[in-house]
Amino acid sequence: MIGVIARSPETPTYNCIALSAGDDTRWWWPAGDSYWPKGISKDVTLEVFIQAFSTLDYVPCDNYELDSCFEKIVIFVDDNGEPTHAARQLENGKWISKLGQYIDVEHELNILRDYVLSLDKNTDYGYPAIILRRPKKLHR
Amino acid sequence: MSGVAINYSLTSGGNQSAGISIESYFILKKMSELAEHFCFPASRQSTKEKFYTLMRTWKKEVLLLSSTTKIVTHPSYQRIIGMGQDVIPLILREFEREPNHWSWALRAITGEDPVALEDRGNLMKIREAWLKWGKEHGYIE
Repeated sequence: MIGVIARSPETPTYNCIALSAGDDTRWWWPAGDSYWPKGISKDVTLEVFIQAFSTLDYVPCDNYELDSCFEKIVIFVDDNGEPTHAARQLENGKWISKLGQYIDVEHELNILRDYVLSLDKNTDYGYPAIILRRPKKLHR
Repeated sequence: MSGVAINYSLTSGGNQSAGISIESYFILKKMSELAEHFCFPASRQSTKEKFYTLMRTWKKEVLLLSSTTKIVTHPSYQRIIGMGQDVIPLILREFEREPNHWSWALRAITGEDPVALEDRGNLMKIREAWLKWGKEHGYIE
């Protein structure tokens, strides 16, 4: 699909939540043997995911615009409002997503859902629900 | 469509790199699975064959998921758990071959949990813990 570029080999080592958190060594999810920040609830809700990213200094923001002062991530939810996916904004304004255990892809935000459905019609990442940001200078 | 070198396997034991698109990779995978379902229908399968059929379905259908919950509650994964102690050596053998979300199944079947709290999320360490457990309990050498 035009606008999607593979950026890494397939690996089960980390998932989209981990990649968005800057961690490519662990699988993040509030369940089982997966990693989840200490002290954060293990419910699978958007609010809990916002709290999880708040441990990395991310706070909600109101736009997708590229901003040289901030790192941004977006959390996707399904039709039930349950988090399904996260992506991180790149320096060129595009986004990077880890597709489950598959590869990382660089993409435009509005085509990701359709792209994943084209790979597997039973996997629906849903829609971007919230953008979070944190100042860049604190995390060099 | 982007062309990129992607590792793919058409059988359980082989891996090849080829310059194919992401979309072509998925088509090849589906063709391989169709052939397998035709040659090995579930009704005539041994424990080993049944395990590998379920495993391949599971891996294919959870490949793009990030939710651990959805990965381990997948019907094929649950059927593997339902096969009980007989599949422990098969799971461990697969775990030895590559890291994956097998810990949940092993915990469910064995009732044990050899994974240290600080290793949560680290599939390599989780795999190490279970392979050590497997050797200590005589399931693998």
